[in-house]
Amino acid sequence: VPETPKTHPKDSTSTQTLLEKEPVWNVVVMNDPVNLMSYVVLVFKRVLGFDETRARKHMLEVHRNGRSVVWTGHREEAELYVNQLQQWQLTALLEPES
Amino acid sequence: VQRLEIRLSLPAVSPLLQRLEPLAARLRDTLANPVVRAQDDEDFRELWAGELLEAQREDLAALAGLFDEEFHRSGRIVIDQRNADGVLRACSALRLHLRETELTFATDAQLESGEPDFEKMSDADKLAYSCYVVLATLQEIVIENLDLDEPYSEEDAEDVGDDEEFGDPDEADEDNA
Repeated sequence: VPETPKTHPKDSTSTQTLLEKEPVWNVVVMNDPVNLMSYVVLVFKRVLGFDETRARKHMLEVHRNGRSVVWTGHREEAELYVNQLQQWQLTALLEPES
Repeated sequence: VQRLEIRLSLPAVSPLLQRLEPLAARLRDTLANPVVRAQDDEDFRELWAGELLEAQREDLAALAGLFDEEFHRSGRIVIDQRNADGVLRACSALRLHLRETELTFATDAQLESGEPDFEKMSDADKLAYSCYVVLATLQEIVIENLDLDEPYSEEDAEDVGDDEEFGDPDEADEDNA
């Protein structure tokens, strides 16, 4: 009877390392002097599913700091959010999480 | 409120619409908020921009749809959950384009505070600024008064409010902020 294959410790570590290194992306919204605060809050609620408090927090971050990271995760989903935010005429971009 | 009827003054609004018409025409071929995606190849950038442009055209059509025969007869426009998103986005597109092309005499601070230097503005500038303000006012009225928490879908035409067209990103999202 063949022995049950054992997981090689080195392989296991490599897999774990690969998973840990899967790139993570930030969806960033930049400030603009045109879009209304109430509009930006609405967009965050609609596109990102934020509640009022969280939407206002990020809107104020955009207003005061010039940018806010509104979502972090895998690239495909991040791209979708960036696209939707851009459809709402916000200046949104994708950047790798540092 | 799920439906807004707004009565506008035809003599006051008509010149603004005439002023906005060429801008809206330009925005059928130009993104109001150009996308910077330096990391992507040209084909992907074109595809991405093309999708956004198509969406922008649909939004402009939603806004133009407000000013129909009924509007020209009575000054009345109707906004509900079916056209509200498009109207809001089109207002933003036009405001961004106005800022970029017509309101270059004003600083960002002046526009954000709503206090440009009127004495230095020509009549054409004043008309452009009036468009900018009216579009913002329309957005504020819609946002403050319409129930926009849930996106509209055709399936819910008779029972608006129960749909969840989008997933809940918070479920997959710890605390991203």
